[in-house]
Amino acid sequence: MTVVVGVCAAMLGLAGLLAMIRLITGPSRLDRALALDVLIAVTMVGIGLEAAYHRYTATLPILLVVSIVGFVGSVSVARFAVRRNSE
Amino acid sequence: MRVVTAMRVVAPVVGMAVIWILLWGNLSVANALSGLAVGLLVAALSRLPHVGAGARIRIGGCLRLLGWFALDMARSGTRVAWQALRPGPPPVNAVIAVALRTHSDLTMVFTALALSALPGSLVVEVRRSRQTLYVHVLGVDEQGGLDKARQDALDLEKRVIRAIGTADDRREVL
Amino acid sequence: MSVALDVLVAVVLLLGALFSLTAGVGLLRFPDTLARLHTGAKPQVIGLMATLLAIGLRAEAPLNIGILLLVATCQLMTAPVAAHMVGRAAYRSGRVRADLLIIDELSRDLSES
Repeated sequence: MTVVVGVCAAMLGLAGLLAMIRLITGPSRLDRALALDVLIAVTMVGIGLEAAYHRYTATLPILLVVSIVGFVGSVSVARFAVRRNSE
Repeated sequence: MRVVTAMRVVAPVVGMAVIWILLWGNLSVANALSGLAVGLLVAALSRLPHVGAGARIRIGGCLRLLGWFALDMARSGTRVAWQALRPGPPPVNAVIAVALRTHSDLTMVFTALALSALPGSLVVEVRRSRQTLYVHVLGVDEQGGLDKARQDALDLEKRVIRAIGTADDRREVL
Repeated sequence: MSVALDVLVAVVLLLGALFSLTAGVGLLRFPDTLARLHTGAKPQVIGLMATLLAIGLRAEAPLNIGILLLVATCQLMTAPVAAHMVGRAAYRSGRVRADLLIIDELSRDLSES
């Protein structure tokens, strides 16, 4: 199980790195919002992976909070981007 | 009619109480009571408009919709994953207009939601007056062309109607 | 029995991580914002579902499954809305490469009205 979790963590780390590259290169505000969304999702999967490995569920409410924060974040960025563009 | 009105008030409060209990993680009298209190408070503070007039929930249709949705999710998820990983040029996309047959807002919202949740299709614009969804489809040729994509969306609408459609919807589509 | 369960959990966890990885790869490789949205916003939901399933398979207390369902439902309801909002903004601000679309019925209908 430890090996499996290690492999999973490596894949998640790579995914986070790729999202980070997109976050830096852009090109638009929306791409960055999307990259942050993926980064948040990778974080959530990581927290879940840790919870599954140690068999505890105390961290699961964090998943709920993180997912709602991510949702509010990308929706507000999307609205902001449209408003800026129509002016 | 009175029963329906009572349900309209009670159901959201009970739903919020259930979420409250799930958040706390254990079922006790104190939790249930405080959940109901919080639910009542939220329901009293936020007066939401009533949507989905005439919608009737059918358990069988809902279960079938969920099953299909899970299957579709797995299938199109694998396809999009492959499109991202495979070597070669990026996939060819399209924005198609799908004219829905329903006149119910709730059915339209659920269809758009399910369509956006599935990998490979994304609702970019909704025109409520003409019940039209504008769907961005990733990799049209792998999905069997434009007509197939349009038919998939309409099939999804039919499944949503089987689950939560109004009487009008059912008469028109089924 | 417990070995079979462990293998199942391992497979599900690997699948979840793999889907997250494809989200990252697609995010980097696809040419325009709308295409990126498809890999950015959806396979990660599947990845999260798989991970939640693995937690559910390994958890002991029955009501812990409740919060897993809550997280899954919350994610399923919010992810498509966020994707739609970003997609709409991307389309409106012209972040879509027209040469990769074989047909665009929205701009046709927008110019008609």
